[in-house]
Amino acid sequence: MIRFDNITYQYENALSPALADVSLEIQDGEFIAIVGHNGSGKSTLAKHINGLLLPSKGSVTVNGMDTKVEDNLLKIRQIVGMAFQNPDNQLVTTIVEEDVAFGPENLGVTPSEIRQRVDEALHAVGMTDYAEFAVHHLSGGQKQRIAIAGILALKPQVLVLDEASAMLDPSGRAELLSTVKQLHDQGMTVLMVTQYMDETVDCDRIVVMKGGKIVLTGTPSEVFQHTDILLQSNLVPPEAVAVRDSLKAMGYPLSDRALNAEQLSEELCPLL
Amino acid sequence: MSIIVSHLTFAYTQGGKRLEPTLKDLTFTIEEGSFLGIIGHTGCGKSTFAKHLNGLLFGEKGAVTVDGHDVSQKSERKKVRELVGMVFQYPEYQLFAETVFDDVAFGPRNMKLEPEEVKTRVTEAMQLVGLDPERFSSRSPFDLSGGERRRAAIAGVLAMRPKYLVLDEPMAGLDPIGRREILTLLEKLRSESGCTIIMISHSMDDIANHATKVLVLEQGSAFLLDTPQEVFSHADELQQIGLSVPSITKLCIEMNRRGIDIPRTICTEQAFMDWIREVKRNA
Repeated sequence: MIRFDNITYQYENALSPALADVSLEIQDGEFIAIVGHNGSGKSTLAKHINGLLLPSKGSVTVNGMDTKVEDNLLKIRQIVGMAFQNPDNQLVTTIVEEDVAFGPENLGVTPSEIRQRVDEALHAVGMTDYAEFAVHHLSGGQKQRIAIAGILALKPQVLVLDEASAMLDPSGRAELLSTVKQLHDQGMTVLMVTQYMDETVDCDRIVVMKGGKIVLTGTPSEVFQHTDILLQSNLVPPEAVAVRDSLKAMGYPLSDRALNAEQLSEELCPLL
Repeated sequence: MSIIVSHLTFAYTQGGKRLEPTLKDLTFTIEEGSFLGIIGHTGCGKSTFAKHLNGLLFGEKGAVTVDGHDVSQKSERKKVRELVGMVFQYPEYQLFAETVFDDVAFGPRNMKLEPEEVKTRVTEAMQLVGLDPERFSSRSPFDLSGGERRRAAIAGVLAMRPKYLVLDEPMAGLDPIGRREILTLLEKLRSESGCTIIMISHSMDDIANHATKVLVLEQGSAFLLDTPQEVFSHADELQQIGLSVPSITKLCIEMNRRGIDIPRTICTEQAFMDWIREVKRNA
């Protein structure tokens, strides 16, 4: 379990805190999306989970271990793996399987165990056939999946994605999202920072941030009932939800569970 | 006047070797005052094509002319670059001056305009992108938020009063409201100063809502070139070449699957709601 207890964080020379008194609990196996405008504090929050940033006030604990205690950090970073925005900044070698092996090699894992972990990790992200490929020949979406395989080879319990889809094209984003969903189905705790609202409709819980504070949390169907709060937070609901709300305003009795094209058409078609 | 692309073919070379052409025999016209959306998956030649519009690259075969000026002619290039403004991906990385004013003024100063005229242009451009000149002129571009920095960078291009504005994924990395601000700006430029917009984007919803014409590039060839309604009605072909379709098109496909006869040319929320109202009226 991950706990944020009343944390405040201020960057050097900043006029106001990037995070102001934020509290949040993430249960094992949960799939959480964190959304918010540019500068809302969502990435700052994510970087606190494995101690890349330490709170100015309050505390962050992972399985009960405080990130402020330096002796805990190695252990915490084995529990929490993190993927970032730019795929090119996260790969360190030239061959796919060497890149995935980089982490476990550094931890002194035995060669036979490394082989097994690399194979499993590549399988988990659907990249087994690319094991011997040159990294620079991969697409952006494939590179992000290799970056995630490199994290999986460290056997983390929690995967944090800090706008990992931001630089990908639509097919790359779709690839990454389905990989992440599969990992979550297999029991991984996932925390995904994103600006794409349509990526959030299948997660367990959405956390909406604005100006360094959490302004709304709930299941996707709960959160997307509050279009007003989203708009005030410089966000817009997914297109299917916007259409649903217009249809509801015209008198069509649609439920709050209709969040994507498929769900909306399932409810709408019998009414036409 | 217009941009005329005729039989444009271009190949990069590597180590003296000519690679497979990135652009293959492109022929079409970009009408003045239109909004051309360019889509295609990564590596299809979108950005390479954009660089041909102001002569940063020019084809080995074929030609691009802007209001009659051939972009491959060195003598025409200065004129072409005044006509065609270019906003690259993540343009805020190109901000460099100490103040927003100096950054936006860089282009007009290079055009050797009088200081008074430079000031007029900078003020105008900053107002266009929604950065109040009083508040922002003397600030460092590096103290601005992500969305403000992006708009400051675009102002630097607008200050040259281009007739054609080419933007390579101008909304990448911005939050939804930041995206909306950029799109509103582009619409305003088109309606108020008749500026022609050429925008590369991965967002099919934005293309459906704003473009008057859509060019689909696939392996350097023009796969489709038509109105958004026509282009997105070819959803199956687009998906076959790895492209997605607008959210509303997805909804129409789902409804077709459930036996509802909604035309596939509907690709915007407005068109969809119009259709619904029509259905309701006839019910």
